[in-house]
Amino acid sequence: MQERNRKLLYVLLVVLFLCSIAIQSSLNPTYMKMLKAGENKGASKSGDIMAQLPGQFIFASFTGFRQVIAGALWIRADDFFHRGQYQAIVPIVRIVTWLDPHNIDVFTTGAWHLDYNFVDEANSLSDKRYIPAAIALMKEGIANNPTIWDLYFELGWTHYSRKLLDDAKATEYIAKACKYGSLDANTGQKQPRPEFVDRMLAHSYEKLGRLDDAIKQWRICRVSTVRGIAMNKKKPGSAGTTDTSSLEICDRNMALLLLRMGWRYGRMDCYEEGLKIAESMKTPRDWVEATQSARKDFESRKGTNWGGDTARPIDTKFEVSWMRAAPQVLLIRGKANLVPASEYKGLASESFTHWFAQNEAAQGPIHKAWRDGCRVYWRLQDYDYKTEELESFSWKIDTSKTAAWGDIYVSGGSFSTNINMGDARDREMYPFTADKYKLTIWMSPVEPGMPDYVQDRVGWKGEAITDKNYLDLTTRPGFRMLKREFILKRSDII
Amino acid sequence: MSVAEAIVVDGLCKEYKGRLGDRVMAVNNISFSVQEGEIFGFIGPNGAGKTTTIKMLLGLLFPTAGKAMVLGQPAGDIEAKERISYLPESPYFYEHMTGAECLDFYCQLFRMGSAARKTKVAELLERVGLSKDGKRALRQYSKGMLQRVGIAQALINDPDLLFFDEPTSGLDPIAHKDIQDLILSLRQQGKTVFLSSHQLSDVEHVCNRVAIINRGELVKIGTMDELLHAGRTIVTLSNVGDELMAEIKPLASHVAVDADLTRFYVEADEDVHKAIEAARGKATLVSVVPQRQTLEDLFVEIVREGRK
Amino acid sequence: MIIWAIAKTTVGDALRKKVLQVFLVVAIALIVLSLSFSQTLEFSSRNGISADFMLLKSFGLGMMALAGIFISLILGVSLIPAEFERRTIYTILAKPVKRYEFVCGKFLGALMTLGITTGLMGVTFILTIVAKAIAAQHLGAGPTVAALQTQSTTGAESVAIFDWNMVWGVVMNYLQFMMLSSVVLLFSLIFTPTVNFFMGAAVYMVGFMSSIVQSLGNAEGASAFLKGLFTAVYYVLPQFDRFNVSNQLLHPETQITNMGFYTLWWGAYGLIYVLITLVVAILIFERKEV
Repeated sequence: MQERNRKLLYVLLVVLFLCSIAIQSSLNPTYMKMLKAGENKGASKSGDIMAQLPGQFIFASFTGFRQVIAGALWIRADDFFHRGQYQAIVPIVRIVTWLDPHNIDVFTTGAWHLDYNFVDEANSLSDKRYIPAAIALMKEGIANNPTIWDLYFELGWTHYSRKLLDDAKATEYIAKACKYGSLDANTGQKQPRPEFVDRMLAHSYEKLGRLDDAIKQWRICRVSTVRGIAMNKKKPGSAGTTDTSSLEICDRNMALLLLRMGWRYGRMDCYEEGLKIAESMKTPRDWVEATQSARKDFESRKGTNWGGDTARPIDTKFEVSWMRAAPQVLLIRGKANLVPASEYKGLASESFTHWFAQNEAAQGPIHKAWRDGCRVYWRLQDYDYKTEELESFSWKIDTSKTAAWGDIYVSGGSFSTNINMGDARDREMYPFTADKYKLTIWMSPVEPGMPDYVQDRVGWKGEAITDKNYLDLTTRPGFRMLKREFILKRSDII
Repeated sequence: MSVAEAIVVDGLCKEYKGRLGDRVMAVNNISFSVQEGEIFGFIGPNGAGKTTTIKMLLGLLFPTAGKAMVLGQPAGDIEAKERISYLPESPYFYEHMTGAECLDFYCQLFRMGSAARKTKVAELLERVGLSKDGKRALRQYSKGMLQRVGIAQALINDPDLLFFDEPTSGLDPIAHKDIQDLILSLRQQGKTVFLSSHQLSDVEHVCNRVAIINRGELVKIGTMDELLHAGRTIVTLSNVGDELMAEIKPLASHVAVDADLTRFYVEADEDVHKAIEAARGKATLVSVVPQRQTLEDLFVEIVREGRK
Repeated sequence: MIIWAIAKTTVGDALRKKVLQVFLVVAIALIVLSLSFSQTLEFSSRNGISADFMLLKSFGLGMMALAGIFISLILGVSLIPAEFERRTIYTILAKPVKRYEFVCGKFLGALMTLGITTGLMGVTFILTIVAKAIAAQHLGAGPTVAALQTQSTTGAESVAIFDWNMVWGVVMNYLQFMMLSSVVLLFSLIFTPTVNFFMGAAVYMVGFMSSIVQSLGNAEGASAFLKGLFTAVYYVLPQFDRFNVSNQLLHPETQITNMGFYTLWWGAYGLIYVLITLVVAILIFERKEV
């Protein structure tokens, strides 16, 4: 090669090197931002997480193989699940959510696992001490994925509503879910959220007795459903699976809500509006017949000063007692006058529910003497136990604490349950180390404590409920509950 | 350098430095020239520096000192390479290629167009007797067939100067003869051939001039006639006494004693007669055999001298 | 023409290497096999379609990266030394072939070979995802254990067939392989194949942790010499981690940049890096004794 060409090559080398430095320098901030966006915002210090990570994964966790490692660990978690090694799953959940903070499934499954899968051997009751961890994990998931509906909804529905029975908090989170869309499972592109999310908000408002909000929400659902149908006509799939059946669901639910407002509180305006909507639906046959029956009822009550089915109080005659059947085995039993079948005679709601076989209310067992379906809730815990609010996810629970709760089915006006907390296999779950305990037994008019057809008699907020001894108006302001508390000593249980 | 000289080597040296700092002179100050149109033999024992010299002439290695000109250009010049070719010892090619594809590849290295390549490849395969095997993969070729492909690639550009390094190595007698005939035909075409070979019979048969290299140094160079003895006669006597030995020995260039037989290597014809006359009645004359020195003889002699 | 001829021959020769074929076949098989990983998972509280895709894509990209890195190393390590070993280089350089043409031909051949192998893995990968997406669209995923137990209604996810982000992923992988093999090709002119393999792997590892190297270069308290050294290493060695954006591609909702723009500029960096190694290789090979 000639010397001149060689020199030219050296110059070219320098120029190329400078260009590479220029590109690196200008693009590095963008890369750093991308890295930061992918990091777990809600996780505790990475050091303690790293300590949990198997050695061979530590290198990969710093590299672009995070996703692969997260995937591999999640497969391992599935394997542990099949083998029943539930404890082993929890650290994996921690590591995977740290490696891949945008993996929604791991947050939801991990939190569900904590809430539902650590059950005792004797009663199949889940260990309630993990609930704070589950909620903290979900909140961490939300902090990392704040712009999709999934985790808000899951936290509200699966954890606050179903586990903690905290409908107010549940509604708060479901409302947040209604602000955000979804992501395409394959491409990650924005999609509308599923239609059931907005409908669940309407149901949540109903549960809280916020009926006007519920009606408003159903109207919003209807409008967005109509819009969704039009969008799907133009471009199939652009509005998810919204179709005419979605519209029917909205109409039916709104009709039922309005009808119930009419039946329960004598709101004739709502009754009429509900009937109009119900009558616009010509199928199924049972619905049509039920509607016709309800129309007759409406016409018969028009102009009368009728206050609704819940105007007449019902004495629940609530009784409850406990006894120690054996060491750490409690027997709880009692009675509740909910609801004799005779109470439904002449009720406005009967005009509809008696006929409408598809209606959920009519699916409840209709005994000759009783309309069963209510549930009594019990809760036994250390006297000073509080369901914590964790700042960050940690699955370490205080194993010296005892906290358990469940529900008892009311049938034929009475209820009874045997809670075995003395099984040797459940020692860890029921340590009973404290000296003092609180046993609370209560009934709430809110679903699932009292189903639709029971609410038809007692009202959304238990307006018709009375009881000489155990009526509670303070635990949940605005709601009429039944509640009895016992203070137990350790010796009472052990 | 006159136009008639295809190769001119002047004081060429190649030094290698070992890992421990020791130095090896692979080629030490060699100088020679090769005329256009001649077949030039370049022989030497293993490790003498033959391949090193050839590589320097082809520009594959860089001399430590001295210079070399090939076809009027410095060794390794791209222009010169248009007119030269090289057949290495036991040539290797890309095994996945067929014979035709291999030659096509080498044609592309001469920037030939596709039509020209097609014609050339067919012609070359025909010339080296591989027309029927052109579509077979090279990994299926025998050694002889590979050698023929090597020759074919060396003839692509109809070169003026060809470097052949052990062209007949490992070939059967028929293929061997073919190569010899090829080399001779090249000379007839006016090509220059630089032949490096251990087959001294080939070199003796085809070459105009020969250079012998040993331990990196050029030991002898010249035509066959110049290099080899005109002839000598071996007079074999038995029962030679000391007196007779003293009388005949000065006439011989070399004396070899083997049991009771004594061989006297006598150069001049008249000395042969003198030796026979001297032996008359004093010893038994076993044989008188005239002998011409072969290149092999010379080669062996030079190598042995070198070892001393 | 000469460069192209040498490149084509290089591709033909390289693709016939048994080791390379084994890595390629294994990678393709594993990518297809990953379809089955997600189907065996029951531990999911959702319908799990997005989790399935996540698994499929992360395994696919990861497998491609792993196989590609090994292929790049093996290719780069043996490409030029094999010419010396087999002595095919003599018949080539004895022709009117300039040394830089030979080097350029080899580099181009290596890049083309990597393009073919990456293309094969990439097409398999994308077809696998498309197949999964089509299946998900038509069949849907049934409710999983947790969903049944909790009567969860989450997870009614929609699925588009084609995810362009995966194409970017394949492209970014190829750019990495391109840079790695060019470094190793350069090293092959200096080191023996065994040493070269480990040197190449070391370059890859350091380049993959270039963010850490950058941090070391900015560390307070470190001496000026060390800072300078780490900064030099940071800029001289290729920054492979910038090309490994599979985390971002798998969660496009977290992307804050235009992927096309990002790929274009880092692609330019990759090409410049290859050119740098090529120029250095030419300079070395010009004086290399054959």
